[in-house]
Amino acid sequence: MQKWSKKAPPNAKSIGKAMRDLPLFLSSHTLFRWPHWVLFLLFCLILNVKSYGQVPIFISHPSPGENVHAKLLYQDSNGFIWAGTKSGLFSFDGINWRPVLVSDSTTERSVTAIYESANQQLWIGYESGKIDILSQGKIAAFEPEEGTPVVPITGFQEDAEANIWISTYGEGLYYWFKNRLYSLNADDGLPDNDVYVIAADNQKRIWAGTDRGIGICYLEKGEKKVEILDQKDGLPDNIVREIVYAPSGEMWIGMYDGGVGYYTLSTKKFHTLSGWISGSVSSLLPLASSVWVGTEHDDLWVWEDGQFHPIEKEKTQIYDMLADREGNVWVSVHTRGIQSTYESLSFEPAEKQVLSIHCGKSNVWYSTEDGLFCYNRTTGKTEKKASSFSANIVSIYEDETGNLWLGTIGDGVWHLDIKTGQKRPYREKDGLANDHVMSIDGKGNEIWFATFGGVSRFRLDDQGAVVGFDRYSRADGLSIDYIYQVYVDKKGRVWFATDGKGVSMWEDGEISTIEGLDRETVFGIDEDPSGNLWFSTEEKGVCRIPENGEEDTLIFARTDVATISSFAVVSDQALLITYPTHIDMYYPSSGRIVELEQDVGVSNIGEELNVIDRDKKGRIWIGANGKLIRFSPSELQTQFAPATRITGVKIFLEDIGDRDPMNLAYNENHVSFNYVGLWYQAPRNVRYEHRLVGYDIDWVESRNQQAIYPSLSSGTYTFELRSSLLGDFSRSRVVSYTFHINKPFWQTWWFFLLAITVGITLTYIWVKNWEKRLRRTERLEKEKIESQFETLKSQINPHFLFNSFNTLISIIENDQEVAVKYVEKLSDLFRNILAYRHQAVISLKEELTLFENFHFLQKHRYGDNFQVNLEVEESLRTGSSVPPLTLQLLVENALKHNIVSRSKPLRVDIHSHKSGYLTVQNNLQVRREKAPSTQMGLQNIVHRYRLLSDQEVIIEVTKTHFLVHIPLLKNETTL
Amino acid sequence: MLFFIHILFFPLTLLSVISPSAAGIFATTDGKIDFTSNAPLELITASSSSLRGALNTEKNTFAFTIGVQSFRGFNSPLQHEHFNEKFMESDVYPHATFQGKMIESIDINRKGETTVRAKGQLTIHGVSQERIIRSTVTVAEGKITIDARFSVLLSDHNISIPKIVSQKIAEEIEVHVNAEMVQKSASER
Repeated sequence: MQKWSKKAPPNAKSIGKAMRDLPLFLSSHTLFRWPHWVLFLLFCLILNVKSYGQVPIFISHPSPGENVHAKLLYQDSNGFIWAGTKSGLFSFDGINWRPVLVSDSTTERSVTAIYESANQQLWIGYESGKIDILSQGKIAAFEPEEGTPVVPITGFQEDAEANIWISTYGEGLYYWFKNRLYSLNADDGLPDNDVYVIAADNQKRIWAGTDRGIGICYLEKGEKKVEILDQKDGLPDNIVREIVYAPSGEMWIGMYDGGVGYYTLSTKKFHTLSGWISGSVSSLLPLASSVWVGTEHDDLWVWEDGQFHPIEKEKTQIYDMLADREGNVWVSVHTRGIQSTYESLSFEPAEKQVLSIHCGKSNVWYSTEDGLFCYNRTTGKTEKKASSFSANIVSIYEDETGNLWLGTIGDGVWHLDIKTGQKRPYREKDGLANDHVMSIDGKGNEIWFATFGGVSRFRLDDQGAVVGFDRYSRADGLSIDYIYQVYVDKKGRVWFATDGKGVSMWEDGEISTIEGLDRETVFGIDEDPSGNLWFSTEEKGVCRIPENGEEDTLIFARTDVATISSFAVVSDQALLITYPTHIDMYYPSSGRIVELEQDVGVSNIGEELNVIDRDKKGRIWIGANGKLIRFSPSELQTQFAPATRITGVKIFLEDIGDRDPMNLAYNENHVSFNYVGLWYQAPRNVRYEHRLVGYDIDWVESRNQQAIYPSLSSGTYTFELRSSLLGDFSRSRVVSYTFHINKPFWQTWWFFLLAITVGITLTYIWVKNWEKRLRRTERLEKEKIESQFETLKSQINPHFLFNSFNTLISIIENDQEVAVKYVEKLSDLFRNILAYRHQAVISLKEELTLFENFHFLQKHRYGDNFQVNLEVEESLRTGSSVPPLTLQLLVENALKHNIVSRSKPLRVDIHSHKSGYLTVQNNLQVRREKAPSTQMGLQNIVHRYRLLSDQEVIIEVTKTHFLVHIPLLKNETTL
Repeated sequence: MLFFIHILFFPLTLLSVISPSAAGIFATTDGKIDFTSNAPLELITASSSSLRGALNTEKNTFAFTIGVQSFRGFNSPLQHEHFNEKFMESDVYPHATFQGKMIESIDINRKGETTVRAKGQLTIHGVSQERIIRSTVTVAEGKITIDARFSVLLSDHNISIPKIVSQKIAEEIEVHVNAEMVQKSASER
């Protein structure tokens, strides 16, 4: 079904077209309509579901844990919401609950009381009687010398002298006074020792609710005083379960049998709210114009407009309630868990899109395409008042006599007599300006009609009968004849919102046009409590006529919006602006906006224009699609933007704890911040911007609740954080945290000095060492050359050759084959000497092969007169080295200096030791005539070893033997 | 064994209520108590006349006890047996007790009927619950008659009912107590 939208196209041409189409679709509309009575029955059915219509819409929050009920709800001065449960204390940031570690985890931890004192200490009372104090993130047990109670703690309260009072269930009261814990119980005049609740009144006296009335306790010059208020004083019931102080000067009292009452502190009188039927009260929340009442067994009630209304109707227990600073009311329910609702908003179901709304003296009138409805605010009932209109009602006005004027599209105005139900039409032909009546307003006996053909004024007599018509059109000074709204202000001036031609104003018969708006289409008009006129325009948002003294002709307050459906002034500070899908709370002086949307139950408002009105109590009623939305200006709300809090500072993901943030070590340079922007209405909408001054150049936008700076160099940094709901951070408060990372020690002067000294010393030592090594190498080189020279000299020694050749001659004669071998060995010997002469060391195996050749040659010369016995361990042969030709030199020496004869054969014994020595040993039979010797051979070996190894060559001379121990070098020892 | 302990022990708590001054002591040993379980499929009633109790009108305290096994009635002997063995476990928890303080005091000099609330620990099946029970109190010469109706939620006292008989046993049991309590004279002390 197509429906007529009041929002007409802005230009007159298309309005004309819409009007031409009008009769056609109105008739088709009627054809398809269901019989009225069916819809009406259906409607009644829907309404019967809830007897009290104006219900809040609750958001459900997660519970602190599985099967964990929040027995207590509390908001601290930082804005965090706390829950006290059987399993301990939890804090909530809107998304997650976090458990708070208790001071002693072994005892029972059922939290029964939470209270924040003025010095921001959170006092936590447990069922066991134990008490913890949470201060600056650290929890500690409260352990007075006097001991703690052994019965459940039921509350804390601070008195005028900042003494903390503690109530218990079984031991009366205690108070913490000059670091001593004193008791105040039945012996001191307290009515009873079972104290359910304590509260402080305007003088900070402590009110204790017990089974036998209220005890008002205070200290007077250190003396404890108790005054009793009970049934004798007019208290309805002595069992007092709940006491709440309301700043308006009352103590609200919830009782076991007596329902809800209040005691006015100034008059000292009790009043009881009548009509209570729901048994024991468990929780009370007095608000500006209503009182929320939680019960032990009968769910949640609200007392408003002089009556109790059920909000929900389960047989369940309300554990606790809380009003937070954003204007949300929180409820912890046994069966439904933790819920909250934006207290300003409540909802009443309507059947269809509401087309117009008007607050009469005691009823709210509204229309849908099905006719006219009346919502009775006292009974909460909706009633259908009239249905047989051939056209949609788009404007309603209740005049002084209580009768209604109903403006329609295309069918003029109907006058409805409420008592008799009589209807009377006024159409163009009866003197009405036009049959499309968009808006009606009036004052006293004058009713004004805004139409698409100018403005009409009806004058009534005291009985409400029409005594005359006036009509104003362009000819009379109106800027245009298409009028969307008429508004009569407090001074009696009449304002007209026109299509494309701004605002015209009638005053004492004269019509003028407001400058500055003359090209705008204006849809709505409203007046604030100070008498300023506000307008909503199609393209330029909302604006107002300035107060005297301001220069501009108009102040445009919010120009960034184009789809305003309706608006109303809430107070001098705030406007309510509705859009097809949401509502904005707009604060012109600060430019702040609080968006009310799905999260608080606002949706589907529709595009109808000006479906808004204010009742006598200042509450705003908005007609939406399928519901009426009521907005009550909140006195609860003191916070309009997320509360930005840094919740944790960590170094390498460990909490910074007690450390001084201005004195962090150079390697404590991984710093992270956890933070939150508390906005419980829509926690997931919160956006963050942060920067680290000294590191970041600009703000960094984020949706996370953590910022990490992994490797900061030394210096002073300030972490700055701000949060916002709509991404506009310009008005957000910046929260900051400053810290300092010290310079690393290598950047300090003393380390610099030390480093230079050490550097110079090291260089000196190195140079010295290098020099030494250079010299050693030089010497080694020299020794090597000398040894080569010596060896060569001895080999090419003519004696050696001469002897060798003599031997060869004798062999040739005997055995030619051996002779060939002999020559081969001789040549091998010389080749090897040449091959190894540049090497500092060779492996023992190579040395032995070399020696083998030499031995072969000598063997043939001396025969059995020269015997060599070789015992070298196999592993040493490859695993160790010796300077080349060492063995040959030693054996040569032996041959040179000793007698080699048949009677005195020379025995040379070469064997290895486990200690890493090779011993060359020969029997000593010194020749009488000394062979010419330079002693070079042995000396050379000793010198070379000194350069190659720490181990010395050991020369041992006994009476019978000559021994030379040469150290075997490990293979890796090479030079 | 436990049974005897309870039997031996309970009179002590009664005595503690009674002892300080006999003037305001009223006691009974044959008070009547009956209960009704009104379930969809079955109505069960049982009663006992062995309610023992005392109240001290000066100190505003009271104590009552009933032997669970003293209840008679029920719809069958088997039901009686189940009541004792399965639901109440009366060999482990032989007594049900209620003791505490009176919220409103009883003026023994004012004859006639008043309503008094008694707050205390109601212990059934070994599980204690704090209850406020309203009672009609009729004061006559030398005696006080109390008459109270209250309900007991089985789940409050960890009494579990098998699903199969859940249609035959109510979750909430209606209890009616009527006792005539006689003032103790000083000589009886």
